[in-house]
Amino acid sequence: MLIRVDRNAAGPLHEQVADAIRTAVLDGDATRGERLPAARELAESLNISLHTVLRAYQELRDEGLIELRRGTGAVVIGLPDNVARDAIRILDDAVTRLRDLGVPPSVALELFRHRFPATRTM
Amino acid sequence: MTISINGSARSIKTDKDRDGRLWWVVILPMLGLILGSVITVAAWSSQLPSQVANQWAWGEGIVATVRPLWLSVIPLVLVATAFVFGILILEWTERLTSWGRRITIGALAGVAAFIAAAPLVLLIEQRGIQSAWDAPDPALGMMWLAIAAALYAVVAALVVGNKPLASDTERRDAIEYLPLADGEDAVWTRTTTAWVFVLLGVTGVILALVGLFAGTLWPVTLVGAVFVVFAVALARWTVTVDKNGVRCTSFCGIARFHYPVVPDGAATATDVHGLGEFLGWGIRMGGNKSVGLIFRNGPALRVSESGGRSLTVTVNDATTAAALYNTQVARLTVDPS
Repeated sequence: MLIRVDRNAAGPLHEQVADAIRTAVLDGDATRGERLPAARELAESLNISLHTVLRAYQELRDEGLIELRRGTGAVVIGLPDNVARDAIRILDDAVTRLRDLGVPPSVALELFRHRFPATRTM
Repeated sequence: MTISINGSARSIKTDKDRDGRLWWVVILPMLGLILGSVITVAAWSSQLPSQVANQWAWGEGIVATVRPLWLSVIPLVLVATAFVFGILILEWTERLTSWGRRITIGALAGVAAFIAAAPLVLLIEQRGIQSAWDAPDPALGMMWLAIAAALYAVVAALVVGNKPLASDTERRDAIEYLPLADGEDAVWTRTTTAWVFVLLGVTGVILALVGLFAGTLWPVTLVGAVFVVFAVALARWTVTVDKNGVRCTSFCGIARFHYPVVPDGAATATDVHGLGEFLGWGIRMGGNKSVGLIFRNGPALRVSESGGRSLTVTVNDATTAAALYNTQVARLTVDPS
């Protein structure tokens, strides 16, 4: 798992850390049960504050991707196998149908992004 | 336990040093012992019976077989000489270049010493006797000879030294860098399972159970418990690469190895074969502070610098780890502060 933070990039640092770990978890690079680096160590390695790492970890915990355990630190939970399988099947199906409709990927992504806040408010 | 793979240039031993020691501590003394043994037996030959005892009944101390003097001695001399030449052939064919040099040389030298000196122990008490069938059992002398040969094997193994686990020539083969923008930092981390220690733990559990249920075999339970403790401590490792270098940490940080970012350092992703290169799997310490954490065959991260100091650890995605380490070295070179 490679975690990069760029101080000159547009996104906040905690988002960059969370994005990197999220990608690693969803790609299977960080597997279920694997311990993430201790927040203090990660902060020291990346020259960022402990608060930034903790905020990233809390975000991932809220998404259900990791668990924060007293004593052992952050542990990867990931999506349950059946959920991950179903999600990939749904997305593959959607991609095929959108392509058949001639919707460009950038438009499809934007539409997809807009669906989530709407879903949450329902 | 933290081992920092660092050190001064004064402690670096060259291959020439080690090859010289092999000649002075093993080859020449062994050839001398063999020659001395033959000369001594020749000098004793007038005091020995025409046939000498060469086997005794186990436990009874009675002579079992007798043979003509030189038919007893020459096979032993030839076998001892073969062992010495075996070491030389291994050295000349560069089979003693990696981990296992010490064990191989120590074992072969110990056996050669035992066999070369055996005729002296067999025959010393047979001088002056009329019949070989009256020869006293040399069991006690042979036991002392075995102890002396074992001690010599340990000394030889210690003195000849291990060669570095990684050679200088392979380190600059394919240096890759991970592009990092100004103001960008990165850390690479991965957890790996040391199956060799998991296997040790399973063996430990079986031994502990056997010991418990057998009743009288409590030492077996103790050995099993020790295996389990080692397995728990060393079965899971986290490898991290960042601006501080490479850190390999076992469960709860019980064992740690650290290789810092140094100006001359270079990392490569390589493929290792535990049995062929390291005589098996586990933690290996080579010459010149080279360390191998060889938990399986396959991809490995290797960090090294000129002089032989190195750290090799079997881990997936070693290419990214190596590229990040090399970038940290490049940054250090550009901005030493």
